[in-house]
Amino acid sequence: MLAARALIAVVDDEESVRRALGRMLNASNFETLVFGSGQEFLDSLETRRPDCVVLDYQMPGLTGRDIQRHLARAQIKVPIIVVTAHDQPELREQCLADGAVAYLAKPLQRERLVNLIESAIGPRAAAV
Amino acid sequence: MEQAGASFDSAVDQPTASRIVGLEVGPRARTLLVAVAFASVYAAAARLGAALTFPGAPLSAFWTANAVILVALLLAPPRDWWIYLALVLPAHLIIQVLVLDLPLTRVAISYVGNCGLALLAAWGLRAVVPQLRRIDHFRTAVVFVLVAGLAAPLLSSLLVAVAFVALKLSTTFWLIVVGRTLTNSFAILTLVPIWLHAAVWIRGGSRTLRTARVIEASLLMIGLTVLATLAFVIPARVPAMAPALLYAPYAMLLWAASRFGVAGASVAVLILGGAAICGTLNGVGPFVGHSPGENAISLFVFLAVTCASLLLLAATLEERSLLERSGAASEARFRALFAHNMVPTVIWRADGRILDANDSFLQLTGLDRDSLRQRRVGLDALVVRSGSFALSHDASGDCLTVESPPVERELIVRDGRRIPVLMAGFRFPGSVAEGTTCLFDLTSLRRAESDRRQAELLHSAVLASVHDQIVVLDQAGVIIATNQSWQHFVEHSATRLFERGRVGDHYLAACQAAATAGDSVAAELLDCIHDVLGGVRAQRHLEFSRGDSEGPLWYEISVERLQRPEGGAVISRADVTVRKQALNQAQEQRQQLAHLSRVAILGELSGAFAHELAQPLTSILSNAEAALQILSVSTPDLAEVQEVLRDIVKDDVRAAEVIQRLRSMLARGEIRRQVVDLNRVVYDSLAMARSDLIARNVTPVLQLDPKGASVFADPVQMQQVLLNLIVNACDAMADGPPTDRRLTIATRAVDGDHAIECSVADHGPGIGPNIVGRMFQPFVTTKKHGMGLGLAICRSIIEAHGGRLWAENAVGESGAVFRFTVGVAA
Repeated sequence: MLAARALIAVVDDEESVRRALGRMLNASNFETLVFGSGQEFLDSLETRRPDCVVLDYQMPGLTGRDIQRHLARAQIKVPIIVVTAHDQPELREQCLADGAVAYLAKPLQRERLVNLIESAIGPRAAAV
Repeated sequence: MEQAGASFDSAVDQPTASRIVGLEVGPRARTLLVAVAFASVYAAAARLGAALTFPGAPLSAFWTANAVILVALLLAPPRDWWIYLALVLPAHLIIQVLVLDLPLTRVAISYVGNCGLALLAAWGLRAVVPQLRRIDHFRTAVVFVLVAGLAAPLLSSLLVAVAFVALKLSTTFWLIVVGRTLTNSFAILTLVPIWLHAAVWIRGGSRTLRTARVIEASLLMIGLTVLATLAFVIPARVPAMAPALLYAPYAMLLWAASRFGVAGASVAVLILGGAAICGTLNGVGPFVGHSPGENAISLFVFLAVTCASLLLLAATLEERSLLERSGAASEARFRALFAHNMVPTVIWRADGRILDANDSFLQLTGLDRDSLRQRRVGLDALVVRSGSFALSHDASGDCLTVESPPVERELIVRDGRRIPVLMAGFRFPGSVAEGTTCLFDLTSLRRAESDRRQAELLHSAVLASVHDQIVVLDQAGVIIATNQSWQHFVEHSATRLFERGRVGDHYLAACQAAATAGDSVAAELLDCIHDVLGGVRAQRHLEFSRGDSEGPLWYEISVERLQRPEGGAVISRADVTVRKQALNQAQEQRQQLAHLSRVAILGELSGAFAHELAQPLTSILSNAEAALQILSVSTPDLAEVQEVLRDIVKDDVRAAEVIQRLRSMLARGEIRRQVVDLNRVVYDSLAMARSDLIARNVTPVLQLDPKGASVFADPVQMQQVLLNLIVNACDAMADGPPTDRRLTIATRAVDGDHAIECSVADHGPGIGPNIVGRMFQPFVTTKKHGMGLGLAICRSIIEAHGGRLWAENAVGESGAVFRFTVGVAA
């Protein structure tokens, strides 16, 4: 009997990136939902809440930080792993301070990401 | 005689209307009037002649009809003579046949005789004196007396006498010959000169009479009339005075001849003759002692001789008077010419005495006329041996008062200056003692020569001083001058046909030969010279290089129009290697600087580039890891793997494009201008800065010309300029609210579609007054870490493309607008 697969939301404005991440997480036995913008993701929360969010920080419109703040204000506790192609030390500090469970610089290594997701969502939802 | 007025021929020929007795008449009416008048005068003269016939002798005492015909013929052109002769006939017939009732044979003979006399006299006078107007020369008077006064009457009278005797109309042959000859001679010698002189006087225009002359003439005529009357008409009243009275009129005749010329003498003789004829016809006076025929002959001899001699005397006096007037006028002209002549002139005697000097001479020498005439001027004042000029005699001919051909000498004037002169002396014609010398002041000429020589020397010196090689061509392309630099070059360094040539060579032909042989520089030079000589261009330049062991040597040839009316061209050839090297070096430095500027802007965009590369790398890595996972199961979904691999390829291509853009911006290649769509460059530039714009929350707004924006430019440099402006715009908006961070980039055609203007507008605070006007200067910046070279380099790039880059504050809203123009692709 297999436990239900954890639901991971991937938010990235780059279509190719979010498709590749989704594909990789699927292959890593996660269920994934991909969103092209922060607003799309926030809108989806009303219907389904993910177990973990892989959130691109630098996006047009709502940035990763805007979404973090929005979730905090809405008291939606969902682990957030911030990923960015614009790696800067101060950004890391800021994201972690805003409540992100992890901060990763692109490109992402599967093992590292999967480990972070698993540690974020706990053994209940982790892949078997 | 020839000098007096128009000829009678032309006057008679005149076809235009004229005035007769105050009436305006045409040529035909005038001719008719003249004819009628002539015929009437002839008839009257013939009637008068008949009335004055000597009693007892078939001779007229005063036959003037033939003098009338002669005057008419002398005043008329020969082609019209027949008209007058024909007009005589009716008048002759009327008088002789109708009035005097003479036989027709006699009338016919006398008609022929009269016309023959006039014809002979007119023809003879015209033959000897073609332009007879007045009898005012001795020679003319002699001819007139011999031809008209003697030969013509004599010959015609012989003819008439022969005819009369042959036809038995008369038996007194010699009486007819002598009597008719003398009566005609007297009438002709007195009346013809009067009428001729009257005609000249009437046609001369100036018909004023001085009162004194009129009074004198009146006194003369009255005195002569009284004396002649006393002597010939009423001698019996004072018989004791008869001999004295006979000679008394001669004084009056001489008076008339000397004071009133030929015409006056003729009138006087006419009065004398009138009195003598009157006395004789009335049987008184000195000519009544013999038979009527002898009396008549005696009277005619007296009158003819008196008249002829007085006429000759009057003509001689008149000629002398004319000569004196002419001489006086000539002397006056000479004096005026001498006095006012601008050529310094002296009149001298052969003994060295200066008789006179004109004002020009006195002005030139500073001497005064009296001193010169009285020889108070020392000879030393004018003499100079070195220049060989002397006032007095000099064996070499170098003096003022001898005959000499034109020679150049120096004249020492009063203040001691030496004046170069050209002088020539000659004796007056017919004089051995007097002559004149003219001088021409050569000072101006010498100064002009000296100036010209100096100018030529300066011209040569300037040409010699110029380092460039210079060749001067005439309009035909022949070398007319070269400088020393050119000559040295020709002798030592010239290697090509068009680099040679000496004065006199046909340079165009040399260039043509070199061009034909395949020398492209010669062909271009030939084209330049043709353009300048043909007036197409005032000047043209060309550059060329030639190899050297130490690298290429660069030369510039300039062809300019020779500024002179005859045309021509000046070709100068300069070694511009150093300048060329400096230009190349400066160009290289500019390129290096531009490259550094590009590197700097790329540095500013490094974050964006890292992002642009990290994204495809993230996709590639994630896809690869997914594929590995898919393949790790026993029955992998190969279709999905295939899809994954396709995505990997796409992302790899995208990453490669980013790298390629970076490489092109970082490359240090030469400028390559080509047809570029400026809209495309805008898109590429925004793609490069996309991540930066996102990171800065800057929203790009594009207003690109939908018709396209093709320009002729180097695409990398255009991208460099745009990136610079984009980054500057983003920097300007960094402190503003994110919602206001709009970057507007627009393109549009300007300058009549000859250029594209691209503008980059921000919504920052705009250009501050402290920076405006300086922002394009190097090392002027508002950024903390900027060098202040970006905009300066951008402007140099745009200007190198022939465009313009400027900045202004946005109108109606905050922000700055940077605009640049680039010429469209042809």
